[in-house]
Amino acid sequence: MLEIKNLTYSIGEKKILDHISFSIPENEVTAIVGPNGVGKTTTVQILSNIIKTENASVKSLNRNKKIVYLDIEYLVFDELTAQEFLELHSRIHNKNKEELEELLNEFEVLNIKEFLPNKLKGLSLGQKQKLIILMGFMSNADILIFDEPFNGLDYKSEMNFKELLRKNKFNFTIIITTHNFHDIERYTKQCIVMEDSKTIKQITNVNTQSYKKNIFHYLDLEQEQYR
Amino acid sequence: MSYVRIFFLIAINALRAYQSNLYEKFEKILPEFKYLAKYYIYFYAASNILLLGIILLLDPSQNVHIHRILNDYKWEILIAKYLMELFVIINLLRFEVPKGFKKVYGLIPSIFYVITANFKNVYTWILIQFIYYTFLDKQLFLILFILSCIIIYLSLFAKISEFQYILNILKMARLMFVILLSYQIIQEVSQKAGFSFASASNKIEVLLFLWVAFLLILLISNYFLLRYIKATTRIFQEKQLIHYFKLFFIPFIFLTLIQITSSLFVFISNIEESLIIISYLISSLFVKIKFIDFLTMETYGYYLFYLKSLDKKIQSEFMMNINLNNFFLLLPVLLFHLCYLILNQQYIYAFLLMLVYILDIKADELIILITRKILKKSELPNLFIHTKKGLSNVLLIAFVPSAIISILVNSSSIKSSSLATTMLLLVSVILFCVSILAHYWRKSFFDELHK
Repeated sequence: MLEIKNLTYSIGEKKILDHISFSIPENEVTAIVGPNGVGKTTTVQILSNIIKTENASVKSLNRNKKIVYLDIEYLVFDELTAQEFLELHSRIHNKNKEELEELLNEFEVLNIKEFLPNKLKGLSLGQKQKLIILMGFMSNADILIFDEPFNGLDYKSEMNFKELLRKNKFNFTIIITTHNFHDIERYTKQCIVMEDSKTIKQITNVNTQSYKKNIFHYLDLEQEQYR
Repeated sequence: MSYVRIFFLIAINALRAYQSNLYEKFEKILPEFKYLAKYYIYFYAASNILLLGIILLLDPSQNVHIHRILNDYKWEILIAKYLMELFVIINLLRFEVPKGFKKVYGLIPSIFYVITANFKNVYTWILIQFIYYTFLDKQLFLILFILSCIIIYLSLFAKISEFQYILNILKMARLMFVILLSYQIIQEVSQKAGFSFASASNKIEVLLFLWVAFLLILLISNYFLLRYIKATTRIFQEKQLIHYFKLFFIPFIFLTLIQITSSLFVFISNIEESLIIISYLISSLFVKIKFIDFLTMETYGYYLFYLKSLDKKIQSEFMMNINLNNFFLLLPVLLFHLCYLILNQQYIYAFLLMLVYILDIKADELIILITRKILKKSELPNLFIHTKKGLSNVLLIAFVPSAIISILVNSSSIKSSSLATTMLLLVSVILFCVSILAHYWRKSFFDELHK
């Protein structure tokens, strides 16, 4: 378990996170959920050291683990084709052609191969999202953080990506932020529900029925609406 | 990890981005030649490599003038080096990469990315090193080069959000360097015995003074333009200042050429003042074309319909803003030319130039009022509006300098000062007439808006 203790963050006078603590299971998928503006993105950016903090547990986490935060704004190489971009990324992470091909086959369900000849600037949001997902799995990180990874994905790709998360073949510790609760019980081991800046609930997926029920309960949602 | 291939892919991305931007520009300005865009990059690369080669092959010890400048102005040359490097470093620090980028791509690829995305700045830095390698003492250059490398490395590392205070300090340092450089040059030149601006032997000093004036005016306009240029349908932003300063090199090149050629040819020397006025009018034409969004009431496009429903005072205020923008944006160009005339002790011509400056803006206003047309905003950059806005410059080039040149050519006996006084009177009368005409046109325009 990766422990985060007493995390606090303010912008000016406003407290975004107020002494929150939680733990993340290693080699499993954890979802962070909560209403808009509650601090989900801030939390994951602090965990990945994009937002600097003096918190000892975050510092220790970053010292011991390589954490990569993935966001589509990192796709700055607009003029490269998806193929060239993946080659660039594989070279950065010392992956050879065979390893890249293997990974592409593994992610075949996301239909990445079909847009490989297209330039990044011509890709749709969903296609960019798929590239970012693949980029994460190509990296040599210990912990992957995806901020709203289902945004822009079509229904089929979303389902397939959730299946990939469920299998977690490469044993990454994965953290995602999402508003998408469909099948959340299938692919996550734990859910961190952020109610406000200081109240968070940590729910472990032991029983899928009660797990989802608890998430909806803490978020004050009607389960039927989100089926 | 093969850094060569990584750098190659990142460079390919930058090259394609540059070509794509160029293609868009060609398509907008010269649609018939847009296919030349892909060849331009090769021309650009070849000419820049050639330039670096020529600089390396130069031998400054062979040229007496350069040798003298290198000896007399050692400190100024060193200060100028840091000033130029500072501009490059500030631009590099200003360039933002997404937070966490370095962690995703790694340090070296991130540096490759910043270098290729800012290759013009990096090229400028390399060019500075080449120039100083050729002209400076090699040991001194080596020490300065190591220092420069450390600074450039740090600026590639730094992120703007984390180093905002460094950026502010560097901006202050830039100001200090300009003041120091100006002080050094003025002190060095004024200490020389028997120095007089007008004497032919001091052309190099006049050019140095022009350079100082250029830097000072650049620095002053850096502060006052952002503050005083009024918003039209657009806001005058800091990034537009860079485009504005690039235009500033046009009068600098013109004036340097005039200064050099007038010392070589008597004929050019006779018509020097007319050439200054032409230089001013051409330079201001470029400013007008580039910043047309801030300089004509047609900038408002459909917004003029709203003006009709506004209070008359607010209507006048909008028009006044456009007028002030004209005066402010052309002022640095005027000041630069005035400096040249004052350095050459041509005070009457300096006054004449000021009148031409006002006349040009007034004539512009009159032409726009007479031919007013409410445009769509998208139609603004079309050729018609640009032609209208430049018409006053063309008319004035055809009238003022041509008149001076033709009188000088036809009667060699006429004195330069009496000619300038005659022109002064003539331009004053024209200015008076144009102002009255513009006033009545403006009045009728507002009355029409009120109907």
